Amino acid sequence: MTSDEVAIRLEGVTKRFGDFVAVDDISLDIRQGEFFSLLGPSGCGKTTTLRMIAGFEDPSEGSIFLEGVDVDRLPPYRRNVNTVFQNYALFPHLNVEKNVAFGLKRKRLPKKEIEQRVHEALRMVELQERGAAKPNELSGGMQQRVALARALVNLPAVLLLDEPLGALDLKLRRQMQLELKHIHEDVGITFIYVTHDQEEALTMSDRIAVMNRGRVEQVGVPEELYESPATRFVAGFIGVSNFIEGPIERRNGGGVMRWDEGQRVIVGAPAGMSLGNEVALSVRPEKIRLLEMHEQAPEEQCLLLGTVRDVVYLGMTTQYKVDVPVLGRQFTVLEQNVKVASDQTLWEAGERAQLSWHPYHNRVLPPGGEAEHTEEGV
Amino acid sequence: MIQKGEDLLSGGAAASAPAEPGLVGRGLARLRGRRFLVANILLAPTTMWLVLFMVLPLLVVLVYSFGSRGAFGDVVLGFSLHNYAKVFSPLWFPIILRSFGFAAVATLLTLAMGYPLAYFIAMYGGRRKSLYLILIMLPFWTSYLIRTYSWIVILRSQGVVNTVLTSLGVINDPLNLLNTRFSVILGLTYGFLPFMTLPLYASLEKLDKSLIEAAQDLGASRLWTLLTVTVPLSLPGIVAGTLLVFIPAVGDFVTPDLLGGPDQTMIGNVIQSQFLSTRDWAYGSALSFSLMAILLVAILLYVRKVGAEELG
Ligand SMILES: Nc1ncnc2c1ncn2[C@@H]1O[C@H](COP(=O)(O)OP(=O)(O)O)[C@@H](O)[C@H]1O
Ligand SMILES: [Mg+2]
Repeated sequence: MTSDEVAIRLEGVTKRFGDFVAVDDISLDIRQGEFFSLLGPSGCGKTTTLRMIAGFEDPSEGSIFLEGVDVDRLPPYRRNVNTVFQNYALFPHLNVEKNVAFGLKRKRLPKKEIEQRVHEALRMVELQERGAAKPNELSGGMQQRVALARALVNLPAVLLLDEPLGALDLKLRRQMQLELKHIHEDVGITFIYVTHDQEEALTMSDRIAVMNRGRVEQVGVPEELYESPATRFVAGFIGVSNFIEGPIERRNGGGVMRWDEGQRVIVGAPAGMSLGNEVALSVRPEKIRLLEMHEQAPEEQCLLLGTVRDVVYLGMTTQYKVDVPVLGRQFTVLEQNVKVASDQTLWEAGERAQLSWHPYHNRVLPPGGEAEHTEEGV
Repeated sequence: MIQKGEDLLSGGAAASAPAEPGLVGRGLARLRGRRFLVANILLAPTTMWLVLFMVLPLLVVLVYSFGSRGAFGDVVLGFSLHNYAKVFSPLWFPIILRSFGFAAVATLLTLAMGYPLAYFIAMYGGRRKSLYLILIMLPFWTSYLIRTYSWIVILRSQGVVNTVLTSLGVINDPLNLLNTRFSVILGLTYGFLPFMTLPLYASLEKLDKSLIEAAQDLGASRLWTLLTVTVPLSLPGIVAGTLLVFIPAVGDFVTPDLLGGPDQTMIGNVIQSQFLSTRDWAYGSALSFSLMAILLVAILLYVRKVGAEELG
């Protein structure tokens, strides 16, 4: 990435409120035209990061570069950045048109041009009919779109969106996700999108930074985050993961964890992994297959024994909760319902089963880290 | 069963319709009736208070204003408009004008001082907000009369200001501060400042701070944000504050009496002297009513103008 492709660069940005570290040493490069998401649980410092980029908070340490220029001490109104606030923050005393025109008027553009750009912006969000309405006469979804138009009409270098769809109901949110994505493609402006909804981040983003307790745990494209979580927190926060810990033994070219009754988890040989030590792995629910007890799993596959506890039929898939006694935890297994037919039923609670998967799906996690995050979804 | 369901629905949906109300409708009506009763009981003391001490005295004053002065300073009831004719005599015109002028200047000054004060407390008061509010209300713990007297101590020729300035050698002869336009307006401004600050504070406190950030985000400097967002949104507080200051300031007689000279007489002094020294209660009543009428018109014009701006 050359420096002129970088819209925003954060270098070791830290924000403290008294003793509390809200944002902890974040470094990021966000590319021109990218749809970049900050994803993390509530309170992890997403809003604070966004507010530092917008200029409402000064970093305690580190620098922020906007289009290559250090914006330290530059007040918000001098930064070529616009924000869509979570609560929309529309001016209640101005009608929709005047709300949208607010930024352009400040730039002292000719009246004709302002009118035209406001009109275009309102058309983009399909509100051209409601220009004369006051914000409180509009529905939540419409207000959201006005907020978007009001920010985008200024054609900022970067658009900051702080959980912009958080207040909308699920159906409207889905629809707005698509619209936002289209608008992003149309205008070609860099979007920094804050959300705590991993599904939303995965569907909309070019790249995502997963944040936890003020730190960035991993930056990557959605597939990377899902398939190769770098930390235990990411593995648990994005989708569902099953965690395996245990001491590892040497096995030709790699390692293996072994238990009685032939149970085994085979691991490749990631760099820096010293054998004999405790190792933590994660594996995704849909990578695991459930086998009958009499079936023979291939020797090179991972194998654990368990008891089905919970069966949730989801149409396309079925989700099982399976107790795995040797690990003392419950696994989540997701099976495609391809075999389910009149003559073949689902597994039932109480049945014993073998869990089997290819070692390729194991992800070695760094030791320690966040306790696993339990969240349903994806 | 179905019939009953329909009945329920129609009654609930159209409680005001002339059709026979269903169960829900009747229930609602009963509830509303009870609420109405409770509300009236709760409002009764206030209503009685207002009627006894506000409406009745006003009626008395109105009736008096059409009468005339008796030989011994009593009121002879009657119906004559001669008191009102005298109100608009050239004698009082400059005084009425002065009253409105002083009150207007004092209102502008309280606004100019109260707005930054209220803004500061609302935006940056933090945990000290209540302390600041108590400090603003602190002067009320002393009577207005005493507080106004204390200005005499400060302003007179051997007063605090003149003594300090003379001993510092800034001036040789004491300044003539008391009994001037300056001292009256100062007294009014000082006395009515809390009445401006408190409603301003209330409206600024309610103001959504993210709107200020939104304005700055859209490129508005601090001053532009103030002019286009903060002030328009605190307009209700500005209206309330200006009315709370202007109305009593126009009719004030304590301040011009204590801090002003003969050239600072305000309409309040005239009315007061009609009642207390001249003992022409009828004429005083007519003056009072005329003042009220003029104020009412002024307020209506003002509120309509500001209200229109708020909408536009
Ligand atoms: N002005 C502030 N003063 C003190 N603490 C703050 C302030 N702003 C945010 N915080 C704290 O910083 C942490 C991160 O907040 P925030 O950035 O809003 O998180 P997020 O947007 O990810 O939910 C939270 O614990 C919050 O309480
Ligand atoms: Mg937030």
